[in-house]
Amino acid sequence: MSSGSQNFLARNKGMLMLMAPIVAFLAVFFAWPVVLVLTHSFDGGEAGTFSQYNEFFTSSTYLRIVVRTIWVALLVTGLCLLIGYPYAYLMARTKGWTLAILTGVVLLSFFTSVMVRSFAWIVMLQRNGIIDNFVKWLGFEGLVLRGTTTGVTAAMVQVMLPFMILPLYSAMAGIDKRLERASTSLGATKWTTFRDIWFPLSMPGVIGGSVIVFVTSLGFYLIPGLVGSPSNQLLSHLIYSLINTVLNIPLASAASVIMLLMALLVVLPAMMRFDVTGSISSRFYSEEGRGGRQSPWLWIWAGLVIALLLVPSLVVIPLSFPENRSFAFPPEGFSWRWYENFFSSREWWGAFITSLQVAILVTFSSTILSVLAGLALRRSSTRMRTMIRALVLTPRIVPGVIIALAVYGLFLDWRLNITTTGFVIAHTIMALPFAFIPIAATLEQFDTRFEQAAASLGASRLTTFFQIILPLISTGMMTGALFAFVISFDEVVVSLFVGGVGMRTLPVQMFRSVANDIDPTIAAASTMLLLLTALIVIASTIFTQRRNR
Amino acid sequence: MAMQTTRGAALNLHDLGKSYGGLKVLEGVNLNVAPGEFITFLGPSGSGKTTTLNLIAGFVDPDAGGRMQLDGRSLAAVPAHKRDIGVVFQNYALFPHKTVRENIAFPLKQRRPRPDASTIAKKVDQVLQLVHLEAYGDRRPDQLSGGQQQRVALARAVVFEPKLLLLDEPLGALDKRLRESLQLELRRIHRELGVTIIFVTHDQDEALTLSDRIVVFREGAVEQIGTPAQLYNNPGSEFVATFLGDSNIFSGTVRGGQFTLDQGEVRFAPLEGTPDGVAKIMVRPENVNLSADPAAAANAVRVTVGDVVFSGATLRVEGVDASGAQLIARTRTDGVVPKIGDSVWFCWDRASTRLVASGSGA
Ligand SMILES: Nc1ncnc2c1ncn2[C@@H]1O[C@H](COP(=O)(O)OP(=O)(O)OP(=O)(O)O)[C@@H](O)[C@H]1O
Ligand SMILES: [Mg+2]
Repeated sequence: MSSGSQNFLARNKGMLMLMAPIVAFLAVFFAWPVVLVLTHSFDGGEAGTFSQYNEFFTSSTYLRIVVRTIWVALLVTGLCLLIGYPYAYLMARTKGWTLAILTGVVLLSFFTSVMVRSFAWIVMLQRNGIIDNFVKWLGFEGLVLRGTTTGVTAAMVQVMLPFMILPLYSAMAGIDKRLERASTSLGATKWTTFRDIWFPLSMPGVIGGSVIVFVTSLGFYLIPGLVGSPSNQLLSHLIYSLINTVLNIPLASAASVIMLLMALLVVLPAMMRFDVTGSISSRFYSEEGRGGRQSPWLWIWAGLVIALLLVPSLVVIPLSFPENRSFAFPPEGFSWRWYENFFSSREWWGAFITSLQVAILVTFSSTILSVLAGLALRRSSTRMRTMIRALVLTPRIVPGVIIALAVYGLFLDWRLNITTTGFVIAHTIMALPFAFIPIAATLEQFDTRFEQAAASLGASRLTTFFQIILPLISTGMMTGALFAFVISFDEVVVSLFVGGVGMRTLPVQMFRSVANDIDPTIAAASTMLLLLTALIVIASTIFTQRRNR
Repeated sequence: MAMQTTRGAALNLHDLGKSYGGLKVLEGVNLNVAPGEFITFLGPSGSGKTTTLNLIAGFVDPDAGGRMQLDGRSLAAVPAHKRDIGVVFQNYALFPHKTVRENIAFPLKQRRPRPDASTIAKKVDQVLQLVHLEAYGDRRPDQLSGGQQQRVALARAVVFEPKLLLLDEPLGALDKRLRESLQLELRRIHRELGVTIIFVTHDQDEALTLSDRIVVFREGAVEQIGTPAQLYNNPGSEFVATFLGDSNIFSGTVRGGQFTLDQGEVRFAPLEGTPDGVAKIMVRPENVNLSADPAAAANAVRVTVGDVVFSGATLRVEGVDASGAQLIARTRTDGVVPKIGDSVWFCWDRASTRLVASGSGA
């Protein structure tokens, strides 16, 4: 080893020690198994051949699936941008309670279980579902969108919209409103100012939001799997069935490689120019240039977006009270039996407890790892920082099905499937990027001089951490912890693989229930989750509003 | 006074240097500070003042070869939190989540063995009294004015009776009146506690009024060390001469002990013992007299008056000599008052001339 690298090690000992846990964790449980998946795509036939890829690219069915997947992802991204941009613009223009409500709606939708929303979309779109019956009631022939690409796209847009709006808003909130005044004073019209000043400056949000929505859509399993049909399969669905029904792991791996390449093709160029993942959750607030009258069209648009974000989820509520085992709409009769069933059935209640346990453990593991990595970030050079950030955020851009496949394979060897440890490890991988972003951001803004002051006053490193740093970063840390909890509690795809009979998380139980039978208990569970989420979001909105005063 | 008087510590810096990624920002700093001394670091922005303080406080490590000793004990292996050096930061760095009392009690709670609660409370009271903030103990830092925050920072840095106190432009953010009153307070505290102080400032007046000795920094090196009077009256270089106070500089040549300018109506007294070559001499404006007849003066330069400013006790006359150099005289107001455009002689006696650069390198 050269003396230069020895120097580096000695100089950065503290930083490297703080980094070690998260690097080791991601290397062992994420990077390594993903690489294994990739190599499996060359298995079978003669070693080192491309037979899987040959098979894949010569099959017109598979190619059509790839094209359809890209098309749907693009469509979803474009629609989210179109729908979300004016809404985010209005958010950046308002303050006080108006802003709190606009933000609250997005956060409510963001935090509402994806499984709950998928279920809601199924009952809306299926035969004799809400839309079908409504259209019939109007005197037309009926409209069944379940199983169509249109239905899948609509549901995906609704689920992805918050992922677009939040980065858009955070980019727009950061625009210096004086620039607009300058532009107007220089004689530019409102439209020119928007086109030449506002829009270019909101670009990081546009790119950030689009990349996240595109990549997530590309690998989205839940909605295509539940709302779509085999005849208009998407790639994630194909991978899932290649593993679970056909048991063709090498071909599934090849499909995963292709999916990953498509994701990277989009992410890498965007990452070169923009801090793509950094803008997911930073909520930065300045009163400057906010308030005043906005165009009525913007308000109407915002009203429609709010309806789109909230109404579909609300349909689960009436569906939780029918007397009979049915999802018919409007429901017949009234009873609490499905709620009783939730609390008394071993399957449902057990799944809920499992989810709770796992989510709490994941909250701790992700928060601790993120705080350590965040502390390391403070002590590293700019280049190191970019590397640390990229490392922790990669699980966010690797499609969920691929992580699921990778982790499942690793856990088979290590006998971790169907164990709490297995769930906690798998969910921590998924939760880390979300926990890391707010925690790292607060730690980075944290003034070094507080640490220096504490040291000059005689405080050891440990005392400084617990008495000075920790209290000052608590808000960011709580945000990160909350994200970790929600991500874990809501996770489906990886849990489908890692779990098994006797050990399911609540979303998996809901997934099985939707896929296999008609059981309104899922509506009761959804209603309770929805109310709980609403309560938390409303309480935290009121709390922040009070405090800002 | 209730606070204990501590004897200040001696500090020795030997060949201290610091580089960041190959770029040297500090080089060859040597300084011996006597116990109880009030030292000021003065220099332009980026000259290495804060870097030197950071090295002393232990926030950054010096390059290999540099040595620091506090009261004869090497600081090399002592981490920042064990150095017992009080530091007041430029923007105070008061912990925002702790009250004034909690901020001040913080260093006391780090002592081992830890003093009991009543001792801590008593010391906090004493030091609050010292900085005249008895009534503010339960406030948070953001409920205090800038000057009050400044005093809390000072109180926090002295409460654990460090023998050395470092202050990095502590008064920089305050208005002029507040600065002056805090300067007085700082001098009082220095006297009462007997602590050794190193004080960083941009402000030459502050440096001149407060310090026992001033260390002038320039581009990461020490340019000159001396008492305020030494630096003002005998600047070692043109840089020091112009950095501290107003000055008139003449660039010319010395031949056979006689200084001459290339042009203009001038007369200079001989400079004995000065080597031949280019040289610069300096005279302070307050040593310059105005005269219509230069015959009696040892040194005289003819100038055209550009501006006359009356300021109560003194008259400031600005003029341009034949070479175009700007010159200043500060005289009593009861003499002749020239008018703009007048041609007058700036005269001064032999002892007021200072050689600030000589030899071929000047
Ligand atoms: N961490 C660092 N990395 C690289 N260069 C640095 C670092 N800290 C300081 N420098 C450089 O060292 C030089 C000296 O900085 P220093 O802060 O000591 O100046 P200063 O005399 O305190 O200036 P000021 O009066 O503006 O506070 C500057 O050129 C600065 O850019
Ligand atoms: Mg400085």
